[in-house]
Amino acid sequence: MSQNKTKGYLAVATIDSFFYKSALNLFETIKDFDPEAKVCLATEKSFLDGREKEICDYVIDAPNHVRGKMQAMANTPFDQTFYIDADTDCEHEDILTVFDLFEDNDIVWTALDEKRRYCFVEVLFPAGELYLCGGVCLYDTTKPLVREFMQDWYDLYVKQNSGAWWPTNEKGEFDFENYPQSLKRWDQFTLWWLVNKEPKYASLKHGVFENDARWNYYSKYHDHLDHNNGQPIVIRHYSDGNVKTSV
Amino acid sequence: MQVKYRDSAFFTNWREDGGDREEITALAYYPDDPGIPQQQVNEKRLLDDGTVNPKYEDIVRQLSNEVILKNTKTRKAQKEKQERDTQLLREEKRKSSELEKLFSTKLQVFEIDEVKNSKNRKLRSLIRRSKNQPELYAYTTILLGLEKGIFKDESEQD
Repeated sequence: MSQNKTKGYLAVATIDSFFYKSALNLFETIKDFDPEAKVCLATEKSFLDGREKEICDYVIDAPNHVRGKMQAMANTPFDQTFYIDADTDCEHEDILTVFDLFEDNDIVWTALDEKRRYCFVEVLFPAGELYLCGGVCLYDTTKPLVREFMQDWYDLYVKQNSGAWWPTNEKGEFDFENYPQSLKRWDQFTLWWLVNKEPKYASLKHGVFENDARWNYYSKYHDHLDHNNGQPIVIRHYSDGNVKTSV
Repeated sequence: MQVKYRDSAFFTNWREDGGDREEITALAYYPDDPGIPQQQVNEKRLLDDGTVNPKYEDIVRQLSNEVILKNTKTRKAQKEKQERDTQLLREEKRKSSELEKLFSTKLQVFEIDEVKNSKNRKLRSLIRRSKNQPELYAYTTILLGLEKGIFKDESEQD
């Protein structure tokens, strides 16, 4: 059954044309290792300059929103999708193995691991800790609930970020004591909520890639700490804002 | 008033080779008057007139040469580790910054029309996979040279 499923890579470019340029670069780095790879770009029409016709197998619309990526993830044209943040590139042929890494999970993530927390702005809060990272995500939408999850992730984040939604306390008021307002900007918090608190999605199986750092290796990671356990980096993530402003 | 010294005292300029014990840094406190805050003191072994400094002697008498020497070695090791760690972090930051700059430059290179529109998959791939700026510029130069007809692609004649 798995053999018949369509498989492909998704990247999203919204808000800034930098992401369009970097997404195309990402796809080409994937195709350097896997010329047959199917890639889908979700973007705003205003960014298109024709290069996408050469490189992309699919181009779909994405909303002009800072986290339009989650809606695009819901709209993937593939059965099995490896979503990758656009400000990345692919460095190793192990990318060819990614669709074999589901094990028995519906969605596979990388983690905000304790050893790598020096790289992340906000992880701990009174009611829990952010653990899953949305920088890359392997998921299978042949299970309709997975597609709904992605759409809800986007919808809830939009509400969260606009102030229309927040976890409530027993008095029905926004619970800023257990969930500080500083979390409002993080889609990882929305993700945490859906994974840990939303009964609708309790049956979804979430996993973390084995040796996950190599699948989403932030350029700010300290190499001497060997987060990738000596294994080659597959996806390198350039998350520094300075990169964006200089292109 | 009685002066006591915390047992963290160390030889100020102690070196591995010379064993310089000419000055001690210590925290002095006054057990009879807790209202007086403890303070750091630096006591030279010899006073300006060449006589032995009684305060220096007092510190050694209270804490012993062995304790002060042990503290000094521990402190030296900590300082050296701190310096190594700082150096390592500085190096990591430099590498990270270079990688980000390299990524940014690659995207800029692919905005050059001749590169953007080139069908030379091999050179485009080499540009993308460049590990540093000189390599990136070298491959870009070759591609631009070919695209502009400055160089001739020998492989196309085969």
